[in-house]
Amino acid sequence: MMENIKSFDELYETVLVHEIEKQEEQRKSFKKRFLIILFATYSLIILSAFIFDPIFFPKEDQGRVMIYVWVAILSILPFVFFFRRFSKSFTKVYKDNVIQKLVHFVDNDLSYNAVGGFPKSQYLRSELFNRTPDKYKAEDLVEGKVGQTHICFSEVKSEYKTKSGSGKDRKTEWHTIFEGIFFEADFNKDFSTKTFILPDYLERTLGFLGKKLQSFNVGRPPLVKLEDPEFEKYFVVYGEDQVEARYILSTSLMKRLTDFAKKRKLPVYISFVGNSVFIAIYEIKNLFEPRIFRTNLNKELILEYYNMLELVIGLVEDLNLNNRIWAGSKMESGT
Amino acid sequence: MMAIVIGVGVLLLIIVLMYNSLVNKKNQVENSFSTIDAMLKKRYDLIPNLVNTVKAYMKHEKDTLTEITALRAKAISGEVSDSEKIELENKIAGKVSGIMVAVENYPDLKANTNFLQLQGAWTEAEEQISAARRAYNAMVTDYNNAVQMIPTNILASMMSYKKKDWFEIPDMERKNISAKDLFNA
Repeated sequence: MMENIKSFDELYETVLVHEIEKQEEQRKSFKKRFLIILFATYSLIILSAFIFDPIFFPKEDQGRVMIYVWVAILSILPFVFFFRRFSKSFTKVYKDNVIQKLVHFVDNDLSYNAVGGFPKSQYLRSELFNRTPDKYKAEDLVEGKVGQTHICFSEVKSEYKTKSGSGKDRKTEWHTIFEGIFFEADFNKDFSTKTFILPDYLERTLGFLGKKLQSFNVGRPPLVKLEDPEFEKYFVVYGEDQVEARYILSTSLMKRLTDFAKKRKLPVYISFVGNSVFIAIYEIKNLFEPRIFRTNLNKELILEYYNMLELVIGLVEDLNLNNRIWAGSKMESGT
Repeated sequence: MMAIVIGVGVLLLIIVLMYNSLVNKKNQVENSFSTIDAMLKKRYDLIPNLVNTVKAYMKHEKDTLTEITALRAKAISGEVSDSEKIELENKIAGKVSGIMVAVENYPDLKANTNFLQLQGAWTEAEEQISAARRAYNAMVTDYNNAVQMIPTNILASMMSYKKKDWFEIPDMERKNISAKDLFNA
């Protein structure tokens, strides 16, 4: 039945609404039960506090405030547990039905795995972010072939930690390195050196001086100055080989990447390593998730997920990756 | 006294740095020109194979094929100057792209795997040459900026470094691109 559906609106009205409705009943009853029990539990706690307070603490005692705080905190734990358990099974069904269909609607040949994630080894191989992550989380893996091009992407969140202070004041803080969609596709040209295309903050803000500063970069290969001024406004390119970087970044690809960057408000990072193109698309929202306390029958929400899928899968078309006269597909055997 | 010594020292250091950066830029230009050269050689190597494969099928392009072979022989003889080389190169590229268009009239040839491979290799070589040419032009721009801008221009004129020309894209290739665009439109 998927074959006859032409537009997103049609897909939403004829297929997705029914899938979501199936789960709505379950979600509503959980929400109701959850809120009732939560309300009842805390009413009971507060009530018993009023009744038993004079019995247990006949004298003015500072210690009892702490006891109430602890009771409040500890009584939350079972709720967290129940919420998580429900959310996990609910999310699985939602993703298997709604997101799966959404992915197949965009491209029927792609496979979707809700719990699978973009491999950390490939994330590291892309060398897009210099800092090694201490925590790496990935979910919602989409993989398969678009035309002749093998692609693979998922949501990724990578973080590193810093420790400060010592003894009792020791603090561990987590900082985000990247969060968003991490994408890999086999590139349509053969190359052996590495090229990095990073968002350009310096040149946009500092102009000529920024360009000068870019050449003193740390941890990146030499700067590659390209002749497309508009592309240079959005990106800064570092490459191990001046000629190969230009071989990869043909004039048309520069134009295509600029157009892609214009579509996004948040930064885009691109690298070419080992015959693959890696693209990291920043996104703050956790996508492809159902909501528990609000209805999922929200077209805007699903449309947002759909738009992201189409944007990412559309990269193959946008970057003209299927135009391969010479290079074959390499990701199949290797990765 | 101390201040003068420091002043002279700093000045000398700046001059040395400027001198080195100029030499560096000049070498980069030369280096990238030799890259173009290497890419061109790679493409010349494809020609005999291409001519042999195509010859058996093409009846009306015999003259062009002979011409291409002759031009190639001249180009690799090593007796040509850089500017002549560029001219020869443009001629060869033009003639071969003519052949590639003429292939449309020979369905058998279009289906020949050997030819398709060669065509792929040729396209790749073209892209590489264009990349090398763009790299060369970028280096020349960098070098020219140094030669013309204050304060390096003073030193450059003392070293008699002169502004260099870009590797222009021949008119013919430009025309090819626009013709293609016309068909697509």
